[in-house]
Amino acid sequence: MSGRDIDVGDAPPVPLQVASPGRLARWRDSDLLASFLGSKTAMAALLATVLMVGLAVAAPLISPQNPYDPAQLDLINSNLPPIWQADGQAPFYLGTDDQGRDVLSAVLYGLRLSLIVGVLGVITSGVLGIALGLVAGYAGGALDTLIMRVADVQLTFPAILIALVVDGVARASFGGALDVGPLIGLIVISIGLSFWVQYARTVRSSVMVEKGKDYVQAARLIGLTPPVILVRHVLPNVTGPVFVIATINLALAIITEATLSFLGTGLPETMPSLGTLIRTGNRFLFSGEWWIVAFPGLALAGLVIAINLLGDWLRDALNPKLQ
Amino acid sequence: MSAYVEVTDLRRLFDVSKPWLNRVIEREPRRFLTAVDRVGFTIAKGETFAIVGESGSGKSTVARMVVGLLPPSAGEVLITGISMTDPREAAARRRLRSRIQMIFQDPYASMNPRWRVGKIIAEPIRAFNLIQGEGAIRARVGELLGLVGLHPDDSKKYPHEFSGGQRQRVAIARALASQAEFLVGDEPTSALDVSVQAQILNLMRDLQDRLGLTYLFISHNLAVVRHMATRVGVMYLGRLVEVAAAKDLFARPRHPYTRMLLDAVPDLAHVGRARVPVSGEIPNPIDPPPGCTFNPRCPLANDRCRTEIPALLDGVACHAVQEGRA
Amino acid sequence: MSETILSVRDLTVAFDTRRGPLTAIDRVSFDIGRGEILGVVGESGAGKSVTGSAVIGLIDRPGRIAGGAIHLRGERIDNLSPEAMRRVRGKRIGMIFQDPLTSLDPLFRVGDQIVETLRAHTKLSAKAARTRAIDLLAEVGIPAPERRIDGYPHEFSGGMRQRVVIALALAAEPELIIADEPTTALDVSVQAQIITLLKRLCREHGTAVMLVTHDMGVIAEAADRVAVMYAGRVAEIGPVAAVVREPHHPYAVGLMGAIPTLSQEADRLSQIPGSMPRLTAIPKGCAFNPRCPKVFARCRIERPEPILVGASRVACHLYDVTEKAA
Repeated sequence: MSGRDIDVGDAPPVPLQVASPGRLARWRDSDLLASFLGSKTAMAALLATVLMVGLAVAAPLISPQNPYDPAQLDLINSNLPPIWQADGQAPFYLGTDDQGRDVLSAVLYGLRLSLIVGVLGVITSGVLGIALGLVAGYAGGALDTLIMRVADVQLTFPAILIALVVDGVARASFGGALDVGPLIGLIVISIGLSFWVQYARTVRSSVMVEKGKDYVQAARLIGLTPPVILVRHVLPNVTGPVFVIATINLALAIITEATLSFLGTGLPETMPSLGTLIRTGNRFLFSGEWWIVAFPGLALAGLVIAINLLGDWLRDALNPKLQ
Repeated sequence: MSAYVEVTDLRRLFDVSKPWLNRVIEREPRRFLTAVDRVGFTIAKGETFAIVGESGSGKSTVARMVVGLLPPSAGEVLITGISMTDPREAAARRRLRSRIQMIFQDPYASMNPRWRVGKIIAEPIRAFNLIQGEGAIRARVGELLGLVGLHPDDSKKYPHEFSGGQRQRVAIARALASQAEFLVGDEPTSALDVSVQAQILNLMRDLQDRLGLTYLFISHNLAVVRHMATRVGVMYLGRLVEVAAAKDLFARPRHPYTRMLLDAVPDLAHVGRARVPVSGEIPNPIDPPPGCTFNPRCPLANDRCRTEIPALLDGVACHAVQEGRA
Repeated sequence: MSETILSVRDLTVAFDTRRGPLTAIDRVSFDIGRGEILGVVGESGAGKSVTGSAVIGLIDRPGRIAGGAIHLRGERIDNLSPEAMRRVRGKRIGMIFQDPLTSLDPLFRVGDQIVETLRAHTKLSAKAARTRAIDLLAEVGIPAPERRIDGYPHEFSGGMRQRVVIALALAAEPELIIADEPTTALDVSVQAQIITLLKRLCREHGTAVMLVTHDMGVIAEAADRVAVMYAGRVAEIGPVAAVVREPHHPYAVGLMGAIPTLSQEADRLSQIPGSMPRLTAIPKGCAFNPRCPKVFARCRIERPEPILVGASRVACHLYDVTEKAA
């Protein structure tokens, strides 16, 4: 009889005709929006994320230089400090590296690559995990056991180790000379294979709850087949937690890519992501050119923190029981 | 009158064993729970057959086997002479499928919360390809909503915008959408408030009169069953202990369990009544008593009741009744 | 009536939401005398459980008592500090909830839980408390209490668990027991046992009981008086026989007619159109007016105050003598 489970009355008043509010009105009236407007952290995190994504998308338009084009680099401009220091020069606001590459441009393009790889990695792991989770949860039995035991085993390895193994095996079998396109694909697959377990587990447990519900039984009664029931009825009702995982995993995927690149198995120096920039910049840390590593590092940290805060808020907002 | 539904020797076991590894380590055998044990009955076209029982009686399991949501471990369900289990009759069963629908207990869980009501009701129409053309389907959905006392414009709303009773009306509209003639209601009103329950019970009776529906009505509420049923089967721990016309069952209950149940129900007519306390509780169905499962609570039990399972003869499964001791 | 144990006057409970406060309980008044069982009945959303929570001081934020007074034996308890209220709750007010499993700690033997309660609120020694606990278990009808006292909650059946909860509620010899749906989770045959037990114990101990339930049958059998709640207000309060057999408030009349009974067969149940209003949309004037068959102009404007009609108090303008004279 706690006050919390108060029944606020489940019925509209007598006239059965109540205008159903449109989608926009429902969203404006929703608890999610109220929770968002009530959380300064969430608003700041969203602002920061949107800003970074915007910068990344607009990188080719706003960058002073195309850092991937060797013709635009000039060794005369090498190792310039940021603009506010004594030797700073426009337009190299954040300084340059030893090749004369503009750090600001490199960071913007690196942000772009990091986000592309992260988003694609999240999509890959999500699709893989959701599909396996749906099948495991709905089919049950031996198939469920098989999928979930593989997931258990995979969980005992750190994600980065799996990514390194996938990456190593692929490079060995393709002879090491990969183009940038296939290389990005390879990293995306590595990330996908490292992160699917969490989706699969969450989706599986949601499916096991949903499949016992009567609306799934009602769908079976009209003779719908399991794949149709899964896609049409079960999937839309298990997506809430998936969004939370996807947001938090986006941050993890970006870090994983950065780590792979930092370890030298990621993107090459000719087409650097934030991780590659940090690796190359690391070499100059002790010779005084701190800006080469600091700005990519700050960009990576900012992006990951903003996305993480957003994910935390989303988790709390969608799951009031955790508060 | 030939039977519309014919259920014979229906049995259902559930595997309640521990996982394989635990069984091997702890040297335990597999364990089975007999949820339904040799249940048989018939339902005539246009009548309401009710199965009443307390928790663990297996009444919902019977309902799910009758509509084909759960395969029986043994026994047979024939509907209009077509087997619901025989794989050789799969084609005939597919045609029968649209005529059998179910109304579930919880109107909050029986509808996809992300679909509008119009889409929910239209789904069976589309699945069975009953009507072609969006306009015609929309008109049919509106007609069905009117039939259950809602407004055609309600099709634009989501389930959560309705009260429990209104949602149960939507569930009935969906059940009727496939032109069903046999509806199985699994506790269709037990999640509802009494004033709303009356609306739904009245609606179900009106629809039966107008459309000639046949009902299998599952409930734990004897008063509701008395109001709805033409014939009643009483279940206890997976077995049918008594089957009789509703009038006879409530006027002259024969099985000691039915008598006890009728005596125990709190009822409006019993204001301030001093009651004869009923002893005992329902045993664990995993480990039921031998013989007649009711024997530990039965005032008429003797040695035969404790060893021999009574058969359902002349509508009652009780040694004491059959021997003339009751 | 004998000595008044609980007196509730104009109790108002509001829940603060981001769209403003919602009044869940609106000026509810009632008394419970020594050894008396007051049934509080209503459909979901009527506010019956919130009323119980308010009496025991368990309204959590965002809810708050927004007005009125609660007196226990003349002592005001609605404005006590949480700490003082906690003492009152254990010692002077006992509680029985719907699910016995939530009231019993699964990790402790039932005997230890009763002994703990006894020692917290009385000056009994450990040994004396154990003897008293065995007596209590025997009193609530647990067979072989000297053995079962060392059992864990999961070793008891549902009905036996609820008996243990009753023993626990009675342990400190409280003046008042709040029982919120105490039989709802139990099978009908067990429900009757619990009702009988509750009735007997209250009479013997002189405990006042507030029995909150949606089940009119349970009220009819257990309660001495009954308060029928609607939309957070008391529609009618009076002796149970009067309210059940001759209800006055149109809502109570509709409610009684909507309940199917075992004793008589009605072709149609009387039904109240529509459903309980949401807290966000409680109609002006009498909250029941949009559903009332006897509504007239005054009902839509002015909220009716309780009027003495026979032995009952009815909040309905129909019974206002000045209205008839006019």
